[in-house]
Amino acid sequence: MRKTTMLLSTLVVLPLAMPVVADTQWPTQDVTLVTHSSSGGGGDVMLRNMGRTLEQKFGINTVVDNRVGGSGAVAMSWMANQAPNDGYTILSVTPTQLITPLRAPGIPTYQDLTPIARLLTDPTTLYVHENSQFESIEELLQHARENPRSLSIGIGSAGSLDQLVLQNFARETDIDVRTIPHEGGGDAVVALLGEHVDAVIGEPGQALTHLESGTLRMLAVFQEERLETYPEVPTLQELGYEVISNKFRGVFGPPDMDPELVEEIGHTLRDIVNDEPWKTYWGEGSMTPSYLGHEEFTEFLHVANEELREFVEGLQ
Amino acid sequence: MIEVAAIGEALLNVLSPYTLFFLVLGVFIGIIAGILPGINGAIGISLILPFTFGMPPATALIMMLGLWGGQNFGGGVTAALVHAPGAASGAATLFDGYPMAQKGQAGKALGIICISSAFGWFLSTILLAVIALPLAAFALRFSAPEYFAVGIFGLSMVASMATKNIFKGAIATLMGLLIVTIGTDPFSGLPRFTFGRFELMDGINFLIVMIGVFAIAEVLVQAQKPNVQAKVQAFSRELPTWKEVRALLPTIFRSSGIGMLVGTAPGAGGSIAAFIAYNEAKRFSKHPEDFGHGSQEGVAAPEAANNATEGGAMVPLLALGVPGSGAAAVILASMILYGLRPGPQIFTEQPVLVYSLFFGLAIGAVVLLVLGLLLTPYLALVMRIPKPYLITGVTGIAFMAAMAITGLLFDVRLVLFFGVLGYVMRKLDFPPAPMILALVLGFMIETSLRRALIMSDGDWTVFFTRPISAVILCVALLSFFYPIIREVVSRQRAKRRQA
Repeated sequence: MRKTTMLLSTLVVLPLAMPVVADTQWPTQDVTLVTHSSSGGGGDVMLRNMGRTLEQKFGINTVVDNRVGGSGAVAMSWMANQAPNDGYTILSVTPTQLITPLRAPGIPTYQDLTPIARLLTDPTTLYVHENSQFESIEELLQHARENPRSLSIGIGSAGSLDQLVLQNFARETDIDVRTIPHEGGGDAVVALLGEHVDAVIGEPGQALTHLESGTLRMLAVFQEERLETYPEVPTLQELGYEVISNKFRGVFGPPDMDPELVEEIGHTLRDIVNDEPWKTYWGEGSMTPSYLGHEEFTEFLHVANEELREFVEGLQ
Repeated sequence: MIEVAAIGEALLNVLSPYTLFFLVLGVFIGIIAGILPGINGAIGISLILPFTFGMPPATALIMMLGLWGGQNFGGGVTAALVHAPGAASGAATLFDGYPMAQKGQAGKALGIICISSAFGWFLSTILLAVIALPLAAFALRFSAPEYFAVGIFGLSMVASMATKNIFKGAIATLMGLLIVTIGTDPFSGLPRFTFGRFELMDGINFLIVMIGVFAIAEVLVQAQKPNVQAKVQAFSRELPTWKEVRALLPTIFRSSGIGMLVGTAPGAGGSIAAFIAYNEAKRFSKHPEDFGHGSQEGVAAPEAANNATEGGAMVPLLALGVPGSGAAAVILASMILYGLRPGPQIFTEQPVLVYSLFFGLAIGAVVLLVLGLLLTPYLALVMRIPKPYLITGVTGIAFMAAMAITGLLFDVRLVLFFGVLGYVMRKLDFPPAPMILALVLGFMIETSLRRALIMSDGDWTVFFTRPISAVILCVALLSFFYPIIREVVSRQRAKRRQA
């Protein structure tokens, strides 16, 4: 019975699907992957893994083009003004690409480019040192309420999504803590390893070995679901606090792209989710595949952008 | 926990012709990357990264480490030959390397750069192999107040850099500190003094300033000289003698130690280490008056130190999984790509790999020594180019470098702006070195000061109640006043003698 259905469906689907796949399956030529990160930075590492995966799967070449500068503004304006829109030049994006245009006028925004797809969600988590007195997030919250401004919480950098999450966290849980920005997530982890801050809010990926060896202890996850890699750590939602971080990773294209092409690129990037080394990349970083196509991604960006606008205005 | 079997296997790994070939290739590419302004170790390593897929992880990583070390040497070569560093780490080599080359001792200058680089690299590797884990634990005790103290200690060198006129030196320092404030406020994330230009949001790269203030200003000064004839300059490819090298050994040892320590601290780097080593060399020197005019110690110190930072940076990279510099970040990313997890447990879980890296680093230093000394006579040929052609070429290289660093035309204009500024400073006798020093250290000083005060909730005593920070700050005070007092005393003595 099952066999017949499968055979039937294959017979029906095959003629419909085949021509599309054979003719225009993206990518058929070399792809330029643009990022605002310098070598070794977040976007750079993501694109190198993506590029390698595409190379192995499709037999094409990829080039990572680091257009560093202006907190992402350089890469954004290059994409908006100079990049060819044939679908073979795409930009890696994170919330940075929303925050930077909000901080300074005159920089192209997501509305000036073509959002192609959201691919992954980076979990934001809170962790402490193994010597910390806090065994659970409730203990930390109780201490923070009883002793305002006694706790210092490290974040990767100022004006980033992590700071917004920390702000929302403090407001929602009614605590007052000191925010300590660093020069990147790695530096914040070092400060925690040296016990110079009480906790760090950031991605688990930047503290991977220490979380595994037990030198650092994760207390809470700022997303809807628990992490597969850390199933014992509760989400804040479970504890009754509505603090969710949406640190997404996706890709944009230049303006005025062919909508069919946009969809095709999105589908290809969605479908590499279990190919190596892309799978290892997101698995190691405890990221969640969270594909959104062009339209849903654009909607998502509208909402995220409004929240970030309030946050950036609050900084001033 | 020394495992003989693992050490043996590692040694066999590294000494295989296959690995040695890629190590030599890595060092060679590194030298080229270092010489070319605008291409640094991080970029060089990312460029070779795709070619290393398919190699065993140890070989690939050794090739990258070789490239990194070669780059630290190449940066100094450009600094000595054309008055602009080829890489940030070579910044301090310019002060004495360029005068040496101008005096016709290009071969000697490059020889010293090569020998000190190789020594610094080798010594830091030994230290790394012996004390990586305790050193990592020590580095973790450094927090914002300690980084602030190190920054102030570095800045105290201004006094000895500007003995001729301490006020002009102070003004140049303040200019440097002002330039650092351009960019994004590190504690609010908002643009600061960017004049509405998004190109300035990440601040001004100190290499852009250096290329302008040194290379372009030098071109302007040379171009102003009337009737420069197209004649070959005084020039010698002669390498330093063994006697000269022996005399430099104390400087090299001390500078390697400094480089190793500074490299261990994530957040400081090759250029900071080089500046500190340069100043310490001057303080310990029997001929501090030669510094800035072609002192061999002045060349050896920064070069030994900047190569030693590589061994230093391997400490947090391997023991903590934390990158201390751009090059280290790329290497960390590649390690993860290879499925390796740096962290304290890597020493017990992957001993063969760790020992292979140690041997690779040590042998890489030897490779650099041989390759560097072989290349030196050819590199020194640059000095045979007649002045008018050379300065024309330097102008081109300077603008190309500006383009290569960020790819923005805006930065080319900045180089031109700083060239004119450097020219004016030279004409008015303002020393450019303190300005560069302030640029190198300013960001670390600002962020660590502000971070320390947030951590202590506004309590200024934090800098003196923490022992490490208190000691470093006291040394900084001494280091600031010592040259001034020495200058005053020697002037009074001179007066008394006249009277």
